Amino acid sequence: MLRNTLKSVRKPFTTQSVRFNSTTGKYDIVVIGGGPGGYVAAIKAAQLGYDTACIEKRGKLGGTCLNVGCIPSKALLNNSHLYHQITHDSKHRGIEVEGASINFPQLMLSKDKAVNGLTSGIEMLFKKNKVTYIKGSGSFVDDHKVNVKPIDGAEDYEISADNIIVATGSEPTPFPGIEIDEERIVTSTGILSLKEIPKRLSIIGGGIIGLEMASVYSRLGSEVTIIEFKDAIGAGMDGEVAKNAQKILAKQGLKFLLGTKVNSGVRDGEVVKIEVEDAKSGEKKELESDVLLVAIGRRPYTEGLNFEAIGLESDKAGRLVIDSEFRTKHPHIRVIGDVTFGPMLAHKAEEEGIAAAEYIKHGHGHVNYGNIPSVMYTHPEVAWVGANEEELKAQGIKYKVGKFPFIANSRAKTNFDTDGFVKFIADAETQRVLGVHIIGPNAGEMIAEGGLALEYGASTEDIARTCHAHPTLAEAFKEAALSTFDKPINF
Amino acid sequence: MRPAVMLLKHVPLIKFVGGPHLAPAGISHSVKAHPCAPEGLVPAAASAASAIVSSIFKGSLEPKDGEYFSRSELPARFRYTPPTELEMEDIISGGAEVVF
Repeated sequence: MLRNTLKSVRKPFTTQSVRFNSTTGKYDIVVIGGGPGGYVAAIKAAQLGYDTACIEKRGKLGGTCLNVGCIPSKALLNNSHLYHQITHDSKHRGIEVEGASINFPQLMLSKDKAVNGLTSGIEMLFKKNKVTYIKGSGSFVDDHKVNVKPIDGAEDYEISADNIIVATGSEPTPFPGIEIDEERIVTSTGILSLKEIPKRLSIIGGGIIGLEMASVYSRLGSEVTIIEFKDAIGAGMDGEVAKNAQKILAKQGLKFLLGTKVNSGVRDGEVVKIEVEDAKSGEKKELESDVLLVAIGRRPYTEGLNFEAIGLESDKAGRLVIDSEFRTKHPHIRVIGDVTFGPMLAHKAEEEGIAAAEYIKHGHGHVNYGNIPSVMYTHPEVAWVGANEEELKAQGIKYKVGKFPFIANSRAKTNFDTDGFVKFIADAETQRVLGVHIIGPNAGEMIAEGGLALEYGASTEDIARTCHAHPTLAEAFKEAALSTFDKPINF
Repeated sequence: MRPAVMLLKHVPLIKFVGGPHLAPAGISHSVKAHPCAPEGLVPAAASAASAIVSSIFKGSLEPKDGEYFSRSELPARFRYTPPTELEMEDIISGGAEVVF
């Protein structure tokens, strides 16, 4: 009896050595890539009982999102917004702040602190869930074996697995003919680590990354010009919302050159010379800038993966080809996240990470590609989920639109933050929510309610009959839903 | 009346979907294009792969004549569990009781 009691007390101390399999190098599941797709897949796989390892070559977990993407950009957006509010939007509220100024190195340190806290947090989650973290780059030897090149310079070694999940992510797409030096001509990575605030910043690409960085540096005092080949900003946004966003951002001081193509961008000492051309008239002109950000999109990252050696295919865009269960031609090798089909978004990769692990365990997983939200963290924020008007028109689906402006929302008025609106698109017959598009304060948080409604197949009446707290911005959400089939109360 | 009690008595117009959501029965694991794949693109050897359901294989897998499976090649659940430190101590001590 005493013996049993002692055993039960001591057992937890021996668990780690049983699960850690580095001596045999054999795992149930190996995940290549420790970004939002990979680390989530690894944790889920371990939670489902698999002996799991995750290989990451960056030396830090979290991938692009945590290290050089969503997280550092949000740190800069949040802090630059605070600064802008203090300097431009506080006096009339009765708050007088003398001598507010930017300490740029400290602003960057604050961003780094946020990043480091979150990346080390994932390491803790790996320990908690008994995922073996391998710091190195993974390269296929055969369809079950992966060569690991440790980042500390130690000798290569091989590990093998019954299942392999590839989640190697993406990298910024280079602009043909423009040489990136990450100092004066930068990608979305370099723009997060500038040494000083540029007096003039030009941005190629009016998508989410370009507009967020435009907001940050505009608030810090840069003169920002956005060059976009298309006639509208915000790729994928509902047309009406995109126009509204452009109008508001222009009012904040951002300059837009739409329908404009870039012919060249060359560093000349401490400036960058950019030649642009009007896409319709062909008229050329030269711009000069202190920093040029190239933000024209991202491409799949497979460098060093050696996927060709085991016969995995990629499409013209470099995406690894998979089927509906993320399987490649070797069914035990699955691919998730930016390196394969679908929108390049961290939360999409996370969903796929969970689903891939569940497919391995249960033969069934769930990702609803019709319900992946997008958020642009400018001010006001822009967020959307589901279909937009343009898509529904193209598909010939009859729909109704309901809108509610924040100018009529009590909380927004109280906060003196009334730009934007909530827009619902619902099936004309059943009122089923087909899409939600928000431009306004807190849109990025509010869109979660739209996602839930879409996932449950809710109607706009369901939302309008759900009690929303007063006074909240979310009441605008309820009133917009109401507007699709009835009249709003407060507008 | 307490709100929680009221909630129980309330008959909502909105239908509750309910859970837990179990995997639907009789799922076909045949290869289908990923919903985001361009022009229905699937892996080239997909037709051959479709015969294999997933790594938690639900059928039996027989070695060919003259072939044998090594236990160490099988998934972890089929392998021998490594002895714990306590078991090793017990073995080394000849099975004597651990007394503190």
